[in-house]
Amino acid sequence: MIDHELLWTRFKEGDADAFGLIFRTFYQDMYNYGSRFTKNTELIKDCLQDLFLTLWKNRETINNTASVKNYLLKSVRRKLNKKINNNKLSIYFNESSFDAGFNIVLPVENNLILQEQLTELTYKVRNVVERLSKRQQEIIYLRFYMDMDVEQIAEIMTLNRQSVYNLMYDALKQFKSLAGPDYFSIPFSVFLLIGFSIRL
Amino acid sequence: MERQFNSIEDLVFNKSFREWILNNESSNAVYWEKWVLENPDKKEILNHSKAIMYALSVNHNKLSEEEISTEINKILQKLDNTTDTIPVETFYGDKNIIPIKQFFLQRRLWVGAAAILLIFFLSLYTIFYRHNNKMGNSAYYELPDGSNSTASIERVNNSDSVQQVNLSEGSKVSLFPRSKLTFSEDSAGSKREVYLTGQAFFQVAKNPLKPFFVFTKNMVTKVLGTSFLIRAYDNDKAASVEVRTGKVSVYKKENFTDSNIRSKRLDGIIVTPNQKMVYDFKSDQLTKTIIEKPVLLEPAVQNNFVFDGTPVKDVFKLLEDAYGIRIMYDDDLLSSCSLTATFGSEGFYDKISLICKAINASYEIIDGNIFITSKGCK
Repeated sequence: MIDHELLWTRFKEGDADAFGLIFRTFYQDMYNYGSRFTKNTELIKDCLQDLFLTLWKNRETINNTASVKNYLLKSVRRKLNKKINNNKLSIYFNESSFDAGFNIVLPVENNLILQEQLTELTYKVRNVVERLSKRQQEIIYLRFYMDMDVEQIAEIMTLNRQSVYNLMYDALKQFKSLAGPDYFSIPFSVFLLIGFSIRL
Repeated sequence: MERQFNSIEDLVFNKSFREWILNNESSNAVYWEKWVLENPDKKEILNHSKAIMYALSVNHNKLSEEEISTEINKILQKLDNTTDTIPVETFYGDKNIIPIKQFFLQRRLWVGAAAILLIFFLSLYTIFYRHNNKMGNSAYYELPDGSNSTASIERVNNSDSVQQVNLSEGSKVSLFPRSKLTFSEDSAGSKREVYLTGQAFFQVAKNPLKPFFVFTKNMVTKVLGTSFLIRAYDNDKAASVEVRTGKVSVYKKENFTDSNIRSKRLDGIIVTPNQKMVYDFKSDQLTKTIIEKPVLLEPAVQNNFVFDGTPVKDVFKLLEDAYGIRIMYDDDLLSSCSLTATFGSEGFYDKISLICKAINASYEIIDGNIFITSKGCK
């Protein structure tokens, strides 16, 4: 494992090698997250170039950060949204263009009955997820694909912790009203909740 | 790998499980199929986990190593104007340089005359060559500031052995076979710019106030005073710059601007001793790596590699200093590792491999640095 905080400290001291390594370590994740906001890959790459250049210029005044990845994802989100909003009419200002792009993969099982069961389950989860708001989907995306906890998600999305919880609780309620007292709702809500370690 | 998976969360946040389900990663399949068989009671958790993964799968466009490298190099080149100044080393002349006048006086007159004639014809040739070049993509370039009016001297090595070329401002160039060096020579030695096709080893006289430039087909190498080897044959697939002493900076030709010429410091991508910059023509990439056989910066330190329960961090520090190659590792993880060993004439990579073996670690080369991966020592 690469010690990210060590790299960060060296980068702040002006070490271009450490800077290059930070870039290499997080580039794919930042690119992935960026690609949730726009399909324009050149825009994402430009944005990341800008972001790293600004980082380098401001390296002496940047705070130490508890999580480098967290800090970088937050910067991607802010910078990219700003760029996208600049190209839009002002009426859309502040509107996040996040699209998790969840696409369903159909299960392949040797056992046909199991395959059908799984397909049904998958569509149920899918139905719920589709009805979630952009922000709720973004929370799930960050939790799932960027391995972020509530605290970190709140920071990246510039929300407070309570808002993240509320959004998730809201998602859970939506799910329950859709699925009814289905046996499946229990494990799925457990997934959402344990994932965020909150007790209701 | 005896782990308990008791909840959906345990499964969906397990990387190996995810790869098995979503990417059909067969290397994990044996483990998970066994797990499924041994845990029939976890069937429901398993199915729900699978459903969640199927429903939440996303397409991520996996960037290739090359794509990421391109982006990194782009940014490193952009750091130009923000990079810290490299400390300027003290100036000293090289006593072994023969001034150009003496060089000619040592030879008979007719040799001198022949040389002048040769230079005359070579200049003519160069002028035509350059002229043609504007259409084609040959190895010759205009001086970036447009001052190609100065008569230039061209040295071509068609022999089988390395030829020595002494420049009037004090630098020495060892020109390899099938190579060509072009430079302008004036009494003041004010121009420190040469043009190279092929391979040459440079020992550049130190002059911090006047950087020395080597132009090759695709690269520009800028130095203050150092020794290094450039290989840039027209027919090769790649060109390279290997540094022996000091520091040099390398630019892609297309990114090289007037301000790079004027600035008194090293910008661009900096290459230090035992590092090598490779320019791959096909992928249009500049990549920094470590040379095949790193040498000790000062051969005298060879005897100092005796370790007896020495903290491995100190060992790495010693190697870093001896070879001038950065070794990066996790401070905390390696804090409890120590090494007892004696090294003789092993090469650099052998030493690193032996140490890694001893502390149960592995290494890779990233951007011309050594990166140690370890789980730590008990």
